[in-house]
Amino acid sequence: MDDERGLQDVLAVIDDEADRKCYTLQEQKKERRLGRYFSLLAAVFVLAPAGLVLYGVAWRAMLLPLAAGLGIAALLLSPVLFLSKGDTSK
Amino acid sequence: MKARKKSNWRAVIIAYLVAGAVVAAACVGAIGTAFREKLALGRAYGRFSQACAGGASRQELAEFARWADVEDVLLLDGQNQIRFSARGTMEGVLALEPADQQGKYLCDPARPGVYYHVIRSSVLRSLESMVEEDAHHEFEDEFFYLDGGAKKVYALHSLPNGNSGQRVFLIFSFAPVKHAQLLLRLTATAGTLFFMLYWALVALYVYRDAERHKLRGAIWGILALFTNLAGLLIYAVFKQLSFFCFKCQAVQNRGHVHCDNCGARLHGVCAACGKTIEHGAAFCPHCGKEQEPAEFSALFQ
Ligand SMILES: [Zn+2]
Ligand SMILES: [Zn+2]
Repeated sequence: MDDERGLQDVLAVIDDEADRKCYTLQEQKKERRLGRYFSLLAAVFVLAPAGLVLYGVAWRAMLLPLAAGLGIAALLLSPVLFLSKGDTSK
Repeated sequence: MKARKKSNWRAVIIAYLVAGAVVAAACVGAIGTAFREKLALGRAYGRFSQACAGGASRQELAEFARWADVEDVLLLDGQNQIRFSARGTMEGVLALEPADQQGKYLCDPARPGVYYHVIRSSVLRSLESMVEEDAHHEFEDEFFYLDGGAKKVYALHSLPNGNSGQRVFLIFSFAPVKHAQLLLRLTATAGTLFFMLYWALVALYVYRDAERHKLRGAIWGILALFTNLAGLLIYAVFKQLSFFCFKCQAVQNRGHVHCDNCGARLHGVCAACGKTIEHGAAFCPHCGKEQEPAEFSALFQ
């Protein structure tokens, strides 16, 4: 009976350990996928506007979305700046 | 490790600036070469208009008429009588009237098929519009499509000749610059490429720096990719508010006594109450107990 109990505990520990390992691996996989996504996105950011200009789109036409994007980003991120000021712990 | 990373970024920035300078110089050189005649004409026009302000002689008019893009230089009196034609292309009276509703073009009923597009500002302005093919778009509007485009369009610019009451008419027929369109497009492409390269480098810096601090590099990198300087600023503020291991740069909870990444000792522990205190603190901020000076810090005092 006692052995049974001990075995159950060991199994529970192993089960947890396996789950944890699985979770960590998944996180790592996610991180790697995000890294790849970042590289791809960076390439698109560099090549797409240059390609459009080469294709014949006026570079001036790209100033408006650029300014709008930066403005919206600054607007959206400004609350984050003020919120994070109070929170000094990790 | 840290120094190597830093010098890496310095090398990247130097490479970026050098490449940018080289490409910019090449573009400016190529454009300057391709447009040198137009630019020279622009400068000549500057001198010529000054001569006209003081009253230009017929010889000066004839000299300006030698430029390739100049069709003719006329001298008209108050009654629009042509007193002088530098290239001898016209004589008699030049009676100009609007050719279309908007008054964009002028024509002389005595000379059918010939239209004049008036340039009010400087010749350089018109050189620019001509080069960008905008002028051609203008010519291609509905008015010039009406009957097959068998029309000749000249650019016309008039200015008073001193205070003689006579006017100088400059008639241009601008020849397009060879490969101008391609050259300007390539220059714009290079400029865009370099600007977006800067953009991506900011994001890459944030990505790498966050990875170095054991933060989620991809998330921070993507944020910086979409928001650029705003994201960089947020990241800088976030870093300012966080606490990093002095040895391995990994982000740490402020309560950690040891770094959870490399084990370096980050804080001291009060011998009396067991709470975490700043390394080298003279007194415990929790219980007020005086602390022993740290073994090595005494050496540096
Ligand atoms: Zn560490
Ligand atoms: Zn204490």
